[in-house]
Amino acid sequence: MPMIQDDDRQAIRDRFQALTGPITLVTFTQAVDPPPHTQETIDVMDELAELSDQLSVKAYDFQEDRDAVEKYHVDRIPAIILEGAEDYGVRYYGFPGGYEFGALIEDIVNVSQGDSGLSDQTKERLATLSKPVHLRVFSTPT
Amino acid sequence: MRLAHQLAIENEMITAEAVEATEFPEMSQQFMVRSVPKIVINDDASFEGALPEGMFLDQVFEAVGG
Repeated sequence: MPMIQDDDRQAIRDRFQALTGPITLVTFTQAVDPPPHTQETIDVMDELAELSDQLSVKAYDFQEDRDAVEKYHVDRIPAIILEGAEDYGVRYYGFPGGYEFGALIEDIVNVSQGDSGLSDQTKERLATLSKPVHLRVFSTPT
Repeated sequence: MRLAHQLAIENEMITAEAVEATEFPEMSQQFMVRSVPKIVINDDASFEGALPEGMFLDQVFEAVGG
């Protein structure tokens, strides 16, 4: 049974018309003793990739593909990295369900376009940032 | 996490991760997540609840001291 319902599938397909550049859904899971929700995470990424020619999936094993783990600085699984023209530092840890799923769809559009979609005012202010920032956003599936 | 990810896309000095709190209970405990969304900046400052762009940015700049 598919993870994404038919109605949602069509809506997402329509939304993905806005994709302007290739984007890779880079996933990290593991075959041995996988934590909960790893398979669901893989399944959803595969289903998403079917909805646009711009989307593809690159699946790595957290225990075996250590070069990739290092390259993407992944320290937990399941992990999803949205990589467009570059790796913008956009990560999801855990199954992206509920509210997060809608955010993931919009993130995919932004990364594909290489445009944050932020207001001009925000962009100008951000350009003055002089120090590295790492944001962790905790959420729950509901 | 939308805004956090948008900031990461906009500025190469910013990285942003969405963490599903129930799947990472130890980490959630470490960062004292009581309600969501909770946003942690550079593992130091934090705030709870969704904020509009300008106020979110205020929190970020305040955390890094300019």
